[in-house]
Amino acid sequence: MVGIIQEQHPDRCRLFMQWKEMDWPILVDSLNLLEVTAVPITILIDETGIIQAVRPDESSLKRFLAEAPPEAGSTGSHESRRLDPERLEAAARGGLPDDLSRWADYLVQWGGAARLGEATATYERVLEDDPRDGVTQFRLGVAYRRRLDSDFRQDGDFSRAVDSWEKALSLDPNQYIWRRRIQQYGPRLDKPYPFYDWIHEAREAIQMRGEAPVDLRVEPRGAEFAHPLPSKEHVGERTLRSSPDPEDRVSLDDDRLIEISTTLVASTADASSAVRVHLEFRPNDELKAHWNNEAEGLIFWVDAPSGWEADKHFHALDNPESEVSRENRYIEFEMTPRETVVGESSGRAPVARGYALYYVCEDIDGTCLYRRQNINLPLERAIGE
Amino acid sequence: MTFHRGQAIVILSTIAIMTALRSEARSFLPGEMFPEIVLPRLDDGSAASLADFRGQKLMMQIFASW
Repeated sequence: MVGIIQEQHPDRCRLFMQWKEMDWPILVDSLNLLEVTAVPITILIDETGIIQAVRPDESSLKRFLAEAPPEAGSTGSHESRRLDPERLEAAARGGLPDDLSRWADYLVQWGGAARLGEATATYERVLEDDPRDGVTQFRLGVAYRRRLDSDFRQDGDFSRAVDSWEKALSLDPNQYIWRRRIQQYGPRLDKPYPFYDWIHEAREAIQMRGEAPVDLRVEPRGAEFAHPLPSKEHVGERTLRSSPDPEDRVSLDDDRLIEISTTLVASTADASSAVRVHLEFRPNDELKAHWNNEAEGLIFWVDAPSGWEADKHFHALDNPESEVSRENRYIEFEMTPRETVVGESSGRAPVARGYALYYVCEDIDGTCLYRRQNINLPLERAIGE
Repeated sequence: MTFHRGQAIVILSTIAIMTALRSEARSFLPGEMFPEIVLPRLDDGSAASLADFRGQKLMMQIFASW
């Protein structure tokens, strides 16, 4: 038994394997080098490496197991193809797209987080020649998302990843591996299933056995746990509350003590049907800013533009127990048009306007302030108008 | 890698339940060699390919934990 997984975060599969007590070898294909368009796929492969059956039923599996091995000498090479970075890098200097792609693939898989920037730059070179290369667009997205999850993250990496995946999917709408990578972070209306809702159950079961669950480098959150919505009618549920600062009385965070990244992910099935908004709030490193946890936690309010509605207007985050902290904080919600908006040309581009209110301190033992930061979310970009 | 017939059938069923078929896959055709790409192993990150398992019958599962 051998597995190949098609996931952005392979350690989540390690947790899954631990939970299910599966111990067979698993290879990781986050870039989808196999170019499969869907999972799962079961394949029976004989001793010589030749495919004997795809999606076998029980009787063909029994036949396969009962068959005698091929005659000696016909089992092909036992030599694994070796990685040869010097040769790959030298070939990439020639600038041919295939060589550049192979080098970028190598860098993503084996180069470590420090070389992900080189990988993205190399994929970008390939796309300069052919922006309609969906495979490279997808892999570029994988590289950006991987960098986001590393210590080498750059502002905007999440948006770049989603942009790349959306471009890829627009070139091949039937590529379900690409589609799932977007849906993982996308609106509930577009989800075929909750992606990682099994993780809590898995950890509990593992702990009950007296084992320590595998640590995850990146905890799933928000959209990755969210359950799908069966239809548009269910989007209307929300917490009704009035805007907490309707007259803009709270001073703006002009120094950007808290930096905010926004990423909008549109539905892959119908870009005009829903948009999931991801907000990330980061204390500014240079200013040594930190959250003041002795006061109210971060709150966020969003107003939907005309013709749109938000599944939740008001968000309030709980503070951790420590007096101060420097962690990133996250909010997600969804915007849904009340009616079809694609094709409308007369109105202004829809922009959702929101703001965050938070208690933040400058440097350790510095001044603590209550600040507001406005956030405009241009929905037309997400839905591709 | 070895496995028993009973184990293989149980695993086949588990994977089928775990991630129900969601779409057609790219064509892997009986009679063709399985592609020999080098990928990192999940457990230790070392390089591996299907050639490392030659001489054994393999049930290959391409899947995701979601």
